[in-house]
Amino acid sequence: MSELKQKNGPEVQLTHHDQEPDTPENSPSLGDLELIRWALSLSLEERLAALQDFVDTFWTPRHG
Amino acid sequence: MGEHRGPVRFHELLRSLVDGNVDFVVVGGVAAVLEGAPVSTFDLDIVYSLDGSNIDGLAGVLDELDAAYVDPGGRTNRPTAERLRGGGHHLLRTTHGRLDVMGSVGAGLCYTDLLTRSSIRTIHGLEIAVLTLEALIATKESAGRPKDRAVLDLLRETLAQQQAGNGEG
Repeated sequence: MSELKQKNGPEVQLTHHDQEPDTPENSPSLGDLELIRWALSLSLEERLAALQDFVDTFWTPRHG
Repeated sequence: MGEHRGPVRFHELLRSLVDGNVDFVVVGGVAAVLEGAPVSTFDLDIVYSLDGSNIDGLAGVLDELDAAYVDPGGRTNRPTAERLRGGGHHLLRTTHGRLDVMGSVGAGLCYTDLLTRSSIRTIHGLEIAVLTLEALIATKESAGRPKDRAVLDLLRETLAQQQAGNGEG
């Protein structure tokens, strides 16, 4: 999975953990922290809506 | 029939399951998002109770959703109550997109195991059991798959931030 990109979210650089080994060097960046704090600030409904926005934007037939 | 190919509609799937009185726990990416982790997923993953009446209820909901197994060969196979009774993983397409229903996850953790590791969340008036971040991290650690390891750092940091009270709205 890649990080959630939300159109109205903070300006952050998305990273690709999928391509990186699980090592301390790959602990979350400042951008990740900003994204996490933004996600945590949302209500449950807003979190689900943000995910739905992501899906609606990036879904392709290969996703099923 | 069974040829639905569109993006998942999370709220509609959750409402169908709740309206059908299905006992389930939300796991996977949607659980992570609801717990505040900024991850993405293109399906809804649930673990269902293997109780007999629940199986029948789930089978009924899946029938209403015109569910069929994901099959690259294009064959249409339906998730019957008999199949659901066997547990396992049922990767489905529905009228509201991809829905994966599972009898267990991780090291054989079933619905009753996961319910004690879940929080009841109210979303648009729907009361839904959602696996906690701690339990999500534990199941992904035990699974040890590359795609699980990839997101673990993010989940761990989300948990740390949540426990520190940062950003919790």
